[in-house]
Amino acid sequence: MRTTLRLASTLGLLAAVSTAPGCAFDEGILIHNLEGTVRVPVAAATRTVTTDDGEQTIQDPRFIGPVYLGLFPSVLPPGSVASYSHPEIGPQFAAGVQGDTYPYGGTTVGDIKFTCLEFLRCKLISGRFTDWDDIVRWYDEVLGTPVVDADGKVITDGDLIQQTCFDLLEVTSDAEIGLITGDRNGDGEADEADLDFQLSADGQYYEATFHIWQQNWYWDVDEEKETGCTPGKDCTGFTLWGFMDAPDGATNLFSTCNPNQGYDRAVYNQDFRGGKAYSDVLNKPTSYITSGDWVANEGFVWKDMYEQPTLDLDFEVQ
Amino acid sequence: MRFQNLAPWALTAGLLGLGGCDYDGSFLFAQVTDAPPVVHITGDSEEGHVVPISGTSEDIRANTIYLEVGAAQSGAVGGATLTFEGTGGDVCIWVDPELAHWNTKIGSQGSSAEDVYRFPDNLYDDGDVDLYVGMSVYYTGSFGETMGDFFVMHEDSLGNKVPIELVACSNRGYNNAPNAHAGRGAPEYCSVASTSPGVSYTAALHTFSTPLDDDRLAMGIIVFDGSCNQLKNVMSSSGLPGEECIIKGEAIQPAGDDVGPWIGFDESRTWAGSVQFEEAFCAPDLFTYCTAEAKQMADNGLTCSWNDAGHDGEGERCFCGDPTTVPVPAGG
Repeated sequence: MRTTLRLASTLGLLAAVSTAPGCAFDEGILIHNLEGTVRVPVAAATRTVTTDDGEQTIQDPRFIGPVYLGLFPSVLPPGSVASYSHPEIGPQFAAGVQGDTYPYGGTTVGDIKFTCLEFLRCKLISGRFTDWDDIVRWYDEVLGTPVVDADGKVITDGDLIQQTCFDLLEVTSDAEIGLITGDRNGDGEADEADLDFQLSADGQYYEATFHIWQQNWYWDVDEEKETGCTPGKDCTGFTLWGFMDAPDGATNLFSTCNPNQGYDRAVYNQDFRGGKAYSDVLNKPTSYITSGDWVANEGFVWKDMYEQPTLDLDFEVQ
Repeated sequence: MRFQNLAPWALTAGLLGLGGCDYDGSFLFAQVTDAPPVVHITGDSEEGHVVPISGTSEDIRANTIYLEVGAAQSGAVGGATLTFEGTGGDVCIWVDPELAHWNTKIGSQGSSAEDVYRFPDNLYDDGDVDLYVGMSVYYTGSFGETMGDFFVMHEDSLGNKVPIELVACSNRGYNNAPNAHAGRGAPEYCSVASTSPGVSYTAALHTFSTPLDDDRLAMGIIVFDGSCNQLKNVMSSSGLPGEECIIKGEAIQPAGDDVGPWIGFDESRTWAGSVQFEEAFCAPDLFTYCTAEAKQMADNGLTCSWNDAGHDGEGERCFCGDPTTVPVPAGG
């Protein structure tokens, strides 16, 4: 009995010691899935184009380019860093090179994907087209610049783009390519209701839901010390800010897309890179925001991690 | 009985005596060499800076720095450091770790130009060093004691600290990724563009791996008054092309705790035959060199096997590998 008791007390002591400070370390990491809505005014999805029917003003969510959303320590008003509101930047170390914004995280609504055809490189993103024929129709009938294949021949059937993707990427389903939505909402039809952006009830905005998965939470550490606020609940947290990269009016290219990166296609008469987003779009937004893009005039200061904000990209850059 | 009562307390005291996480892991490392793991190179200037050199290829060879560092003897990274003053122009730091490395060509396919690599490399005499250069004011290490880096902390408006690496030059790798480094046995270099006159810069040469044959990493270093492209032009105009041959003779015979630095090729303890090996690598004519080396070894009753005990003597050291270890391709 005494041996048993002594053994028990030893084990108990060891257990207590093992939990004492030393190598034990509370990481204190707050991680949360963030969700919200981003809106762009209908003006951002409206353009005047010249078609066979003459000059027309068209409002269509397919004009909405990739939306970049980032989480920053703070956002400064127009005139501080740029002519539009802009995240705070860190110190400048090299002449002529603006400081980094040091974002905590971010996401996009619409991704720059491999488009399978060099013609479409840096012109096409996910979440904007329902099916392959939709792409062909958009470029031919709306933009007036028909899609062409590697030989420069006009493509009139969307299946040809699909087959090219299947061939190059060695996949067998549209979902693996990620360019078209298909019947994403499961209502039996592949239509505009499947696109990322939907017209708001008041008809003033196109709006989309965004998710920032597994985001480390950052907050004002001085405020926490001074007021005893609770991070993720009522302490001042990071600020959500973003912009929409509108397609160039003449070339339909996205300025955030690097044509020299991405999937490398080098076979016979096809020798091109697929294009991908620059890696520092959120770090140095001014390098990529150009005239015609839409920027959030006010950032959203996140306090409660369960809050689902609405961010308006309501300032058109001139 | 008394001892039994004391046992739990002794055990507890022993566990507490571990001191939390405050250990450097040195007990995990065998003290395999007398060469110190961290070395600082003191230059000729009054402040101890290395003075960037210029001139002919002979001038540069005469001022090339050779030294050794030992394998790390704790969990901390080892390496060498030097400082130099900005000149107002570009300054190139060029480092070449011993010795030269290549992948063996095994298959029968590929171009005939690759056939020179059909002989294996001696994998045991190659080391790797990673080069970092930045302003000395940002350097976090202690010269000759601990290696550091060029990270400084930026505090954002929420009070969170962001590490920023303030290296003055950064080589780009695949997909333009920063902080790329050359591999085993390969020279690594970078140009610090438009250095600020009179400002101190530090070159930190981190030991990535030491050769397995002696656990001492030998290297040659050039601090050049100009860009690395200019250095290449000067050196290639009077010798074999190839970056490996800009610095030759960086394989140094070990001798206790004497690790240099030596200024100039003539002053160092270069392994006999290693320069010829480097020149064969640069030609490239490795197959001829390695075949002759293997034949000479065979004539002496030796092989280039790592298990062969006679690899340290004069004329008994192999710079190429053991050809009997190369797999024969099917049908080849």
